[in-house]
Amino acid sequence: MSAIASERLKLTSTRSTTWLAVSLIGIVTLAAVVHILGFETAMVDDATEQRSILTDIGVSMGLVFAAISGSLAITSEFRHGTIRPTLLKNPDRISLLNVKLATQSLIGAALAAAAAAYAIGLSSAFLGARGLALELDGGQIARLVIGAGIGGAGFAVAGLALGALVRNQVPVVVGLLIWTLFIENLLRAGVPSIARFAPGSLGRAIAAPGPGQFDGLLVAAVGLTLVAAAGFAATRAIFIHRDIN
Amino acid sequence: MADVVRLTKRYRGATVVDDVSFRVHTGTITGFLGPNGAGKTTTLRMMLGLATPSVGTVAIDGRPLGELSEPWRHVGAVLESNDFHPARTGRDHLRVLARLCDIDDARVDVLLDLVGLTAAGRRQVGGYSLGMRQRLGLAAAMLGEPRLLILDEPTNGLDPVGVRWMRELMRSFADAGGAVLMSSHLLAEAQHTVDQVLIIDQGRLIADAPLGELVPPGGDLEDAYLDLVTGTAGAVR
Repeated sequence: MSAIASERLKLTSTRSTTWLAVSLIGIVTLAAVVHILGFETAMVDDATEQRSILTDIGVSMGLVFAAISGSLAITSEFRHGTIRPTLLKNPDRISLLNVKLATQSLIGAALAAAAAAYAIGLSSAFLGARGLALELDGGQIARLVIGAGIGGAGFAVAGLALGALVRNQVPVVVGLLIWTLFIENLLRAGVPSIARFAPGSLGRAIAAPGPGQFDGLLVAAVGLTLVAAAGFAATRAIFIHRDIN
Repeated sequence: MADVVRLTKRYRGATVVDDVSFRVHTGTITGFLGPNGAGKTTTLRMMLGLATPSVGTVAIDGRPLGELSEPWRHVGAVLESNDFHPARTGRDHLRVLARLCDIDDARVDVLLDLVGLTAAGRRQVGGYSLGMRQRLGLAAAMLGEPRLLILDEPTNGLDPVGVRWMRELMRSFADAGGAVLMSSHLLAEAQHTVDQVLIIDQGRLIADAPLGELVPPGGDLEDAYLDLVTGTAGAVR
């Protein structure tokens, strides 16, 4: 409990998490303006199109930011050197990573679910302004928000694992952006049979399955959990033996 | 209080710390001296569990650091003067560490007062001078009321008043039954401060003796050091 209290104070005693949330809101807002207000009516007026857009602008962005949040939780410790006083007080590195896993899972879930919910609310308002309506039913909306939350937890763990492995903040964040925004899209276009197992496809499939992705929420959620858990376990095994400079 | 036995560290075939053994005694200030790159910081990092020895052991109060249930009650350390999040206040930096050790915020305020940072405690560390950061690092090290302090170049960045303050603090800490292991390359300052001298050169410990044994009355630690490290004290004189 003391380690969790310490981790919570780390998060609330700087504005990093707040800035991350504000940036996410800004990007989702911009994306909603471009997609919902900018696209032709035929591209935004039915449930399938709306669901796809909301997955792009809400869920996917939420997942990216959840991964960034997870990675910052450990890379900022190395960047600012706070890893040293932390480990001098508590040399148990496994406990340190486990506490970060617990807190970042929650933050990642909250960020991604909030992004999805905000995207839905904003898009509904924008659609209303154009004389259109949100055509998704309650079940689809719930799955977008809850699925984003589940996916966000997994992405935060994956980000944490990558951050603990690489340690250097800039390459980690740039790498996450390149992977989620470019490489996975290329995979989906080029080798969809493999791309369906990629973290981004699994995360999106939890919230709203698209073409070529897993249909079932449970299958996609288990898949993403396995990917994140494998990454975390591998990183943890390396992290506990590496020297801290 | 601290026992270092045959400590060795190899990086990619190069031996940076070679079979180093020494003991840090209760009630003493031990100076860990040596040229840049001699292996001082690597030795301290191994003592604190931040680096894994290739060979050898370290025991604090008779047990490896990892086996102590409350390590912060046994050892506190400052290795770098910049181990702070610049956007966090000094007080919050200490509170984060205090939470980790189940230590009350009242202790944080006592320590801020002790190191003269009460007024600055609510300012972000990014605006602190190097001397203020050294003081904050020392406060963090003393948070758990440890019996052993390990300090890497503790007087770096301090003005003359700060240097004297640091010296007096280390002395009162040792006199109260604690022990201090401080690395330094400021030999004149070390001569004013330490009781016991360890000298490391090219990874090997070449001296482990009380100051009075190493430096004759009226003598100079710098000369003794240069004699041992380069054999050129005569030329320098």
